[in-house]
Amino acid sequence: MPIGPSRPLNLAKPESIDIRQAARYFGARGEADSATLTLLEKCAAPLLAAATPRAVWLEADVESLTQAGILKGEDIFRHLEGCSEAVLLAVTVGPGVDGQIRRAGVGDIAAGVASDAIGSVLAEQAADAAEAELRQWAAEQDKYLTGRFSPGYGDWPIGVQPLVAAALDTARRAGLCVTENDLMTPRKSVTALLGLSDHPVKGRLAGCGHCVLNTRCEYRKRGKTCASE
Amino acid sequence: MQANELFIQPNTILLDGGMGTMLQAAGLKLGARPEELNITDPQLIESIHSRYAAAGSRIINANTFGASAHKLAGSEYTLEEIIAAGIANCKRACAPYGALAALDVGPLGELLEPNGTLAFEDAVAEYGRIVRAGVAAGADLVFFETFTDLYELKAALLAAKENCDLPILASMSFEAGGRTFTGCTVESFAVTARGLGANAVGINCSLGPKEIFPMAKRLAEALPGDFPVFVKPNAGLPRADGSGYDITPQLFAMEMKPYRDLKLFAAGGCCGTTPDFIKLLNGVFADCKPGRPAHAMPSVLCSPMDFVTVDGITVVGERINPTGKKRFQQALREGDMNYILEQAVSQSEAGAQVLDVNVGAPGVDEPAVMEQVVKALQSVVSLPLQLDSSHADALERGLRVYNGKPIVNSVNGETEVLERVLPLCKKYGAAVVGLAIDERGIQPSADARFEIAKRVVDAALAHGIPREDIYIDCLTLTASAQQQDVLATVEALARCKKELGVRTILGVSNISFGLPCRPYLNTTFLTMAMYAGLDLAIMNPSSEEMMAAVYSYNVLTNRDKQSMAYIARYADKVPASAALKQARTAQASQTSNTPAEADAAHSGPFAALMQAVEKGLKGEAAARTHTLLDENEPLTLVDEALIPALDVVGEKYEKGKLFLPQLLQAASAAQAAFEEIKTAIAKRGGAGASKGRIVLATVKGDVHDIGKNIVRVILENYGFEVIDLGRDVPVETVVDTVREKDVHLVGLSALMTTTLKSMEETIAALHAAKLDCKVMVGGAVLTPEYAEKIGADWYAKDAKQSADIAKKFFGES
Repeated sequence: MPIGPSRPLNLAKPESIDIRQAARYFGARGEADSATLTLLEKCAAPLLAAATPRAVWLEADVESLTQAGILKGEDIFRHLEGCSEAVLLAVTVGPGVDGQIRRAGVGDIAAGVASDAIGSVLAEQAADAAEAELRQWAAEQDKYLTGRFSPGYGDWPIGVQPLVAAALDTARRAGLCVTENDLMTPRKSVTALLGLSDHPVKGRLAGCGHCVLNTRCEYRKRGKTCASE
Repeated sequence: MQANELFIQPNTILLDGGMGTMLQAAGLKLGARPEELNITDPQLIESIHSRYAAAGSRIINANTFGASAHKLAGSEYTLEEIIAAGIANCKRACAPYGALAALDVGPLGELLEPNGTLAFEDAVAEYGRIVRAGVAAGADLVFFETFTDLYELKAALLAAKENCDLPILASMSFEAGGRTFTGCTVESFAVTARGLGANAVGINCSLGPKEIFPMAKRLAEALPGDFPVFVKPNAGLPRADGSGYDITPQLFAMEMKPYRDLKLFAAGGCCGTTPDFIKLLNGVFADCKPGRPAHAMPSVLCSPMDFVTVDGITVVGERINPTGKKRFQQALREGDMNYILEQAVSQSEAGAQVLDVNVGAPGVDEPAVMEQVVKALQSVVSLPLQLDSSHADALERGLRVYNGKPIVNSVNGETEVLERVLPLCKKYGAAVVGLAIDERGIQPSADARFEIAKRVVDAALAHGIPREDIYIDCLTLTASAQQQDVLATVEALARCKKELGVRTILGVSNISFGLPCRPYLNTTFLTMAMYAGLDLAIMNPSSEEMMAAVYSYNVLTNRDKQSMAYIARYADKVPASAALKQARTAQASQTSNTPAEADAAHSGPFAALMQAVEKGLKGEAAARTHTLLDENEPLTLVDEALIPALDVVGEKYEKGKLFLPQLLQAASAAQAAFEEIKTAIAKRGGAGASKGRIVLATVKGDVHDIGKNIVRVILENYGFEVIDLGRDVPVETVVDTVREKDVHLVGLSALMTTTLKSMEETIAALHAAKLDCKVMVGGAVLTPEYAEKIGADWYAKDAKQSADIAKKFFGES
């Protein structure tokens, strides 16, 4: 099919936040100390209360997405090898999360940064939940999905965000807008492409070659990648 | 029908249905701009309008929903061309049926501050341009629809009121939970839009008739019976496969029947509805007369998220007020929003329901600061605000940018004041406080104060401010100075409430000025005033005695049913006197333990404070600083305790012995200690603790400011004075600040590759302005090489390094 219509995806709010992951984003190494975990737990409750996750998606063929200017660079096509179709997804946890991050940071920088880390985890958990729904949908069609690949990974530029948002009608359907500088607002949002195929596909993550952080990445310095840790 | 007959129609009139639905059926490609068809295929657009008019629609929305500069970016047509053609197509279709052509206006497609980067005034300007184009093209009315952000709707309504005299219909879209995407409630929308001059309000899109009905009912109930209400639901819910909506015209008509009870002014459809849907609505609303029975209107104040009904005692936090507070005055002069925000958050957590905002102090540009503070406050707290100033310009600047329905404090019996401030309250839909005082000063007798109050009420009513939005302040006198007149305040209050039918308000704490143990007097006076009918108590919500009086009063007057609120607040607490005793015992044992607790790394009088900072114990760091300030100079504590402690933490961080979470928790503890020190310095009237002044900004276009915030706190903790310009900061703001405040070190941050060019432009502008300043830069995607390329003097890899750079720059190490 060409570029299909934007479709709603029902997302339940996560029941809890992955505090260990939040500790890693907060900058803890290894096992976080108890003060850090306590701070994260304290910040997590109001953030979860403020979250309003929403997701929309569509189904399209790779050729139409390319013609529409959404697919650019090399890495995204490598990820889509063996797929003639793809699923485009947008997820946001809503503006309330940004507000709570601002509030937590008033007079307490540690709580502000901890909340920001939790907000990122929350967005990822919401994206994981959306992906799980899509996998179920794909299985019902006897199809297979690759993993998620987002604008900004490898050489897929974030300059495509306005086109992704327009195709998914995210402003109207999820309250997700893109600024003149291609940043998503609310900030804790995820867009991604998943390859769709009638045979099992794995997709290929971008690797570090094209990453903007490749010379200074903390994970790389430790011989790891952001995907492996 | 003429536009001026719109609201005197005998029956509910019909609106149109979906445009996008019709265009997709006609083969519009997804992602194409439907508005361009106004010019490229006018016949198609006109024919769709005609089909709706033939089906019975009497207001037809022109195909201009997305005609904004942002959404039309890259189009070969201007929004003026698109709107002119769109209105012309619509008018041609309307003419044979006597229908009205509406300028249809949707959201701009960008989020407003603080969640996005679009400034409020830029949104007003953008909508102004759209409205003027619609007026020039001959639109009969303005139809704002599908809004999800109340702030954006406010910008649109102001623009419409300031640029045309056409009727204005305003509609928002709600989720199944009864809130919009941005959390706005149905009631907040109703009262805010009405207050800002919308002529009718409604709900459209997002859901079907069945789901919208309970919200439409709430909308109608939040408005006077004669205020016009409308709905435009979708054709049910979207099908999961994306192939459209799930109900037929027949089912839609059936689900619309209950709306007859709401006595709507108008009804139509949104996504998925077609002329067939509208046609069947003729039968549904054939003999339905608009207008509901009159009902008593409650007194309300709101932000988008918080809707406060003033029905009984309501706590207004008094702490955002610099009067008699040197630290607060200093914060205002320095533009230190963080200090003010802390006051707001702590009052909110203590149980305030409304926040009073007063920023008048010597040396402060009150109008500019009022605007800045209102914007900052509503970015972190959702409580409604009471704008407190005697300065009409300051009130207007605050009212303009406030998101919701605020209250203005205050007018008084002086004609000149009434004439200046009441029109502002009317224009911005605010409630108003009237002081029972006039040019003669405070009148001792209750009768005289009542007479002034009556004059104020009459003036407010004459300016179109409804009675439920008027709050009279009978003035709290100081018991130490005018003891004999204290009761007159309570008597006047009771009379105003009973005879004038208005709400009442008092600044309670003034009663005890000049006497010891002020909370005792405050609490007793508050209790007397509550029993006389006080509605808004301006007080310190952190005073547990007073809060306890409020909660107890609500139990004893049978308002707090089954004492639920009282129990929720006090179930696991002990009364203040018992708590004090417990604290004393605890403190005694803690003091005796101190030497044993102290880290071996530290010794001397500051060891415990240093350890508290290193371990990130916020409360303890503040408490110890507070105690140490009794016997030590503030700057001694900075130099001999805080900075050495932070150095230890910084060194461990650099060596990888501890990580960002510990560094930040130490910074938070130092931040709390520093706040005590700043308060002490301000109180002693001494010079600031500044070791140098630095401007920080996250560059234009970037909304990721966490890194910059970390740098700010670390620099402040090292004693530097930071002028934090925030995020998404325009180039010229940085340049102007550096010039005006005589700053020689600037820190810029950018997180994204797309905003690095703003950083480069900012540095270039600083150089072009030939300002004697150096620039340090940081941000995830920056490299030392890139920093050098764009002309920065230093690249700082983290907050620690930026502090090292600052220390070196200001010649400390």
